[in-house]
Amino acid sequence: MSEKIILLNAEKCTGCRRCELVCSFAKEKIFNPAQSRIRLLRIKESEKTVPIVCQQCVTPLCTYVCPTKAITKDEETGLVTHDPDLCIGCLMCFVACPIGGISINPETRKPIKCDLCGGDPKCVSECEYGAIEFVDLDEANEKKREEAIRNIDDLLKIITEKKE
Amino acid sequence: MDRLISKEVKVDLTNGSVGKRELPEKFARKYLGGSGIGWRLAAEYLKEDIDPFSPENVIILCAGALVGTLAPGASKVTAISKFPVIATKDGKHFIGSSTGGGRYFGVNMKMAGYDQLVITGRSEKPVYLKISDDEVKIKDASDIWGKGVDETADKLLEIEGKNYGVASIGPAGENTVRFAEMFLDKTNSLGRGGLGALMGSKNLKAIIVKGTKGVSVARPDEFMEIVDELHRRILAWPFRDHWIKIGMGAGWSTFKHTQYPGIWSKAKWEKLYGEEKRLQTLEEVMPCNSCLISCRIKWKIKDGEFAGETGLGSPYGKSATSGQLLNIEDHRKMIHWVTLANRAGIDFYTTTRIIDFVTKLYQDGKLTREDTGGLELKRGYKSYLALFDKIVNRDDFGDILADGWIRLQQEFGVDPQEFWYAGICKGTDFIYDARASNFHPLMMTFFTRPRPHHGGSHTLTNSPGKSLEEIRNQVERWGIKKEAVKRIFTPTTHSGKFNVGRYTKYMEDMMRVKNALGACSIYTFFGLMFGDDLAKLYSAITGLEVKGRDLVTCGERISNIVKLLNVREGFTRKEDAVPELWLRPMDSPEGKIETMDYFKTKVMTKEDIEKILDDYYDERGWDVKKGVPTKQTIRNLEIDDIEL
Repeated sequence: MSEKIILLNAEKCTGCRRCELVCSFAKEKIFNPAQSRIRLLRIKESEKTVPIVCQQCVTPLCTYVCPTKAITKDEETGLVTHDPDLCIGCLMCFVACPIGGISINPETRKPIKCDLCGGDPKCVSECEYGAIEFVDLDEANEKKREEAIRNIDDLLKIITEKKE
Repeated sequence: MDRLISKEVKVDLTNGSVGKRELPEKFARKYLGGSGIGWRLAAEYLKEDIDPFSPENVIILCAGALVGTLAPGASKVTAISKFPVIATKDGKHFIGSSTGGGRYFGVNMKMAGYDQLVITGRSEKPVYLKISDDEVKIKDASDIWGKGVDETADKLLEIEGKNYGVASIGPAGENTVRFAEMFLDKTNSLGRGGLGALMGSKNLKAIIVKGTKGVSVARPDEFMEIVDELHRRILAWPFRDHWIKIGMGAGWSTFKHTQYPGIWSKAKWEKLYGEEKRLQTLEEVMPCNSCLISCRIKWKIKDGEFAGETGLGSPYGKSATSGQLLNIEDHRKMIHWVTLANRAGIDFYTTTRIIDFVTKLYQDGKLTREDTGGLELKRGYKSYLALFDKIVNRDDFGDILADGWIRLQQEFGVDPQEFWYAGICKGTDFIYDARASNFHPLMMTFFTRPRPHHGGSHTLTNSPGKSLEEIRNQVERWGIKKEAVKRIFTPTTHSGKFNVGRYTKYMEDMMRVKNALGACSIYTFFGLMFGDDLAKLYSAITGLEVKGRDLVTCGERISNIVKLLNVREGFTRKEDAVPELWLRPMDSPEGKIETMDYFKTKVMTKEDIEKILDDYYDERGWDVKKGVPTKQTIRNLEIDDIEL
């Protein structure tokens, strides 16, 4: 089985927040974006939103800085998991994460992070604007290339217009 | 948190006091939540015959019972108050409500743990209200006073942090222009009644709210099952692709008929303001919280004089209708004007129509230079914008116009009913005209209450041409009693096969339900959600067992409280007057257009409409002659404990 990853497309995110709502509900049985593993970053001037979630890094800095081994990477599945029982809430993982993929739960003051819902991420099923997908690595590469080509197309158009 | 217990936070801006209380469970059982309970509070807080601009007036902001959940589109906030808009020549003001969605404000109110936010009093100097979970603070707003709606919001997000929901006003609200609006998250307006002016009168520039507590559900698994089913249903809706591409602009194919002002030919309108033009300024859709359809957009003018200018909201209906009324052929000019109006925080429809009206009066010699304080009223975009600025700032002649239609009438002896589009009732111009759109139930609510459209009532029947079967299916799915269904579909000479008056009663009650729940009426408008769906959601979130018909009974209670409050202010059947405009044919390039009944079988006469109104009051169990609730009805609804 090839590995699947969460593929975020900020361009398509509309800010409806269904991902945050379903995530908190699936994990904490409460609707509360503050307790969601996936978060939307709000860019206030443009009112654009950008989804951010743990990317299950190959070299997860969070696992290196964790003093109690509460965060570990499962080499077989690739999943970076957090064990709240081992966690002392020092928040070093939160500090170390270079992409903001770990949040602090305001209820427990401990970190929370995505576990891909055991292979069926709820945020993906709720996103109907195409901003969050769960795809095979191959497919991710393909999608990214297609997107890049589209962008190049736009770029070429601008360049040709400028020349004219 | 127990979803049967609503939590109210009350702020008195005069002395800075903050009070919180939990409202009894019986309130939820009788009025559902959100604005339903908000109306119950209005009956407690709004004293008789106060000036809307006095410190005693209250603004009750309510987030619906389903807001903050995954119920599709449940994002609505309703504001209740005594409206600043002057409703009658003898100076009456309607107690009404306005409803808007948004991405941050309503959901954050709920996350902070509040269902109702009550604001009363008046601050001595400009302030903004900051709510962050349990913390409630009144803070100095002198630095942001004078700024536009969006600039105010951006500044506050910069100072206080990005995750706040923001309700803000612009200069029009500060200057108490009686049709100034309050904006939620820069995008959604609480419009038409003058809530912006009310905030201005209280020296309240903005309210910001943030919460981290969450919204809990009594039966989580059941709730998710219902959400999943609705989700599937909405995804299967064939028009969804179009809506998530262009937002409310997707409604053009209906809109161009129902909102046709009759100045240009429809072909010309299509060419200048049709979908092709709409797509030219479309940037992306901006759905409200949890919405799967999306009617709001971000626009960007891509070329010409205003190239690069962006805005948030829903600009196409406004720009198209007023563009035709004022004969502005360049859609970009009108989009720019919508941007200016949103920044100023003013009702675009009312403003542009008043400008059109007074310019016509001036050109016909009915207004003189003396009347306008030396101002020459010319046709043309530049003159219009100059007058627009004067209204926003209450400069010179603009000071009179800023008081609205009734003041115009009093000052210059002109009759607002002579304005040639839409119609006016209780000092409020309607969004559209019965002649172009036929006499459907929404048209009824234009004069049974003054703030229709989204805040009014949205069901299937708001578009013409729905079949009797579809309408019947709808009333059944809301659990309307068999006898009532029979009455609604008993043919009459005045309303044909479908009794608009009798149906309107239920449609209004359904709207009260939707607002109390914070459910967006776009879903009921398209027949994607009905009372039975909302009842299931409400049952799962509260743990109560309710059916559609129970919701409608709560809605009826709320409708009657609204009416009783306004009866106390002196409103009776006399004020529910049929706009005379609808009884005169509209001369248009498409020919003569008259007000037809719902199924377009005949031209409506004044007598027909009066009879429909009789049926409406009768169905409500109100005194038909006076148009007020009877003691028996009040007792039956168990609202006789309220002193009004």
